[in-house]
Amino acid sequence: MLKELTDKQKEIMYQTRDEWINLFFDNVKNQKGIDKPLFEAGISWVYTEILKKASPKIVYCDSWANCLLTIATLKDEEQSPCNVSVGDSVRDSVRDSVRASVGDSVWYSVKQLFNQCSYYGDISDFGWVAHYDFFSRIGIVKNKNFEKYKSFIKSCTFAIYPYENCVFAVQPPIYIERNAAGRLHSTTAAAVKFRDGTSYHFINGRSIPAWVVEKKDTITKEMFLNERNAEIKGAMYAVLGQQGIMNLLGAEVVDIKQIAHANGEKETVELLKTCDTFPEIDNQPFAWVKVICPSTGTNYLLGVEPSHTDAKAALASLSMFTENEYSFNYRT
Amino acid sequence: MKKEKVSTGIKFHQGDVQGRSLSELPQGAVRTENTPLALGEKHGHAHVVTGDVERYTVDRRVIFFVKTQAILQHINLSLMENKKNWETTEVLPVADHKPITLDRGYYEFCIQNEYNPYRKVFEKVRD
Repeated sequence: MLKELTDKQKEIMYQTRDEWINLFFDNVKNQKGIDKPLFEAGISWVYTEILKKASPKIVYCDSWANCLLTIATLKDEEQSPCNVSVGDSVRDSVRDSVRASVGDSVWYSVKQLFNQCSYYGDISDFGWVAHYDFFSRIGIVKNKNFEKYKSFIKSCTFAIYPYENCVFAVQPPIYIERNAAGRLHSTTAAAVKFRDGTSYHFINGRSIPAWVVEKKDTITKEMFLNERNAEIKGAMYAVLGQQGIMNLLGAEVVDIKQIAHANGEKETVELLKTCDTFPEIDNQPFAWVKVICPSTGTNYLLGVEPSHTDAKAALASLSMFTENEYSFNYRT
Repeated sequence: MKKEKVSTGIKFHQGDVQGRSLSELPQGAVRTENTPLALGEKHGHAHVVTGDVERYTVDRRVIFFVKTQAILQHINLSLMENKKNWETTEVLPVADHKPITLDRGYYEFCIQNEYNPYRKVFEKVRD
């Protein structure tokens, strides 16, 4: 019984974690796409050795939306050729593409079995596979099937929709942007882009409409004040940035302090607040401290809790230091 | 945010990175790979500690042990693809913020925060 990890095992643990994280994000960054030899070997193993079935036809899709549309098209072909929510031309194009790629038996089996899609693994399995991969690396797990499954998952297939005779495999995104906490996040563009152009916008992990990011220059004070969806309002706040929100709403200086740093430099910090209060933030004003970067001379606005009345205390609250400790030997 | 008494020692501020010297390595600190302290959102810049160092983490705190000398540098991240640059005590081409030399000792680093009233949390500043 292993009671405690050795330093070497801890090192392997972090190494394993980082390798799995990097496997996916390097794939995205370098737009590698699915490792087809690994995926096809894995699917063949799942169907022939585990399920005792014939190897299926594989259809690669450039995005999740494209994949679901393809499956829906096959489904709707059976029901009503006009009863689809996408344009006929799009559907026809997708259908033609799929029909060119799959044989009659696949076409009809998928149509008949579109509700019988199974699940055998995709990018969402990275977490637990990485977990047991660590135990495999330190000799605790010794399982040939796990090694084969691991190899299959390492193909970086974003999503898999397996049917009786056919498997739809979704290519991973070609662009992902995240915040410091690792959540999907971009204030300047789509946070997730697939290779067919399909894109998704996120702020701090929350899905938002594209216009908040793509048309942020058209956001007015009235739009901001009248927006009732707190998620969208929070997204506007993030996308416009501190300066943008302050410009939009207006603010006044409520305190100015001078900080005497340990290296002899003097720093002036201002506390600003909006004149209005806002119901979605507990009927408080927005508040910022304004500081100047000593290297670039750029003014920065940093959001602070609205309860502050002292500019230096407000600035110190954003750091590991107390107000009295907030004095630097080096500032660049 | 945890406030610890700092009566003496070095305190420094480079862009959105701040830090201070510590008298010892905090208990429970785990050695980790040296990675950028902060990544810029727009320009591919990064704050890194280069030199003769060991990086540790404990309770989300980032601690460095500078064995002889190190430099807190603000550079273009692509420079760090050259692994030798992680160990250099020479100044690399500066992005925006001038380097800060750190002598032997323990140092804690953190990223300056800002308050998000919608999420009611402090978030790390990204420049």
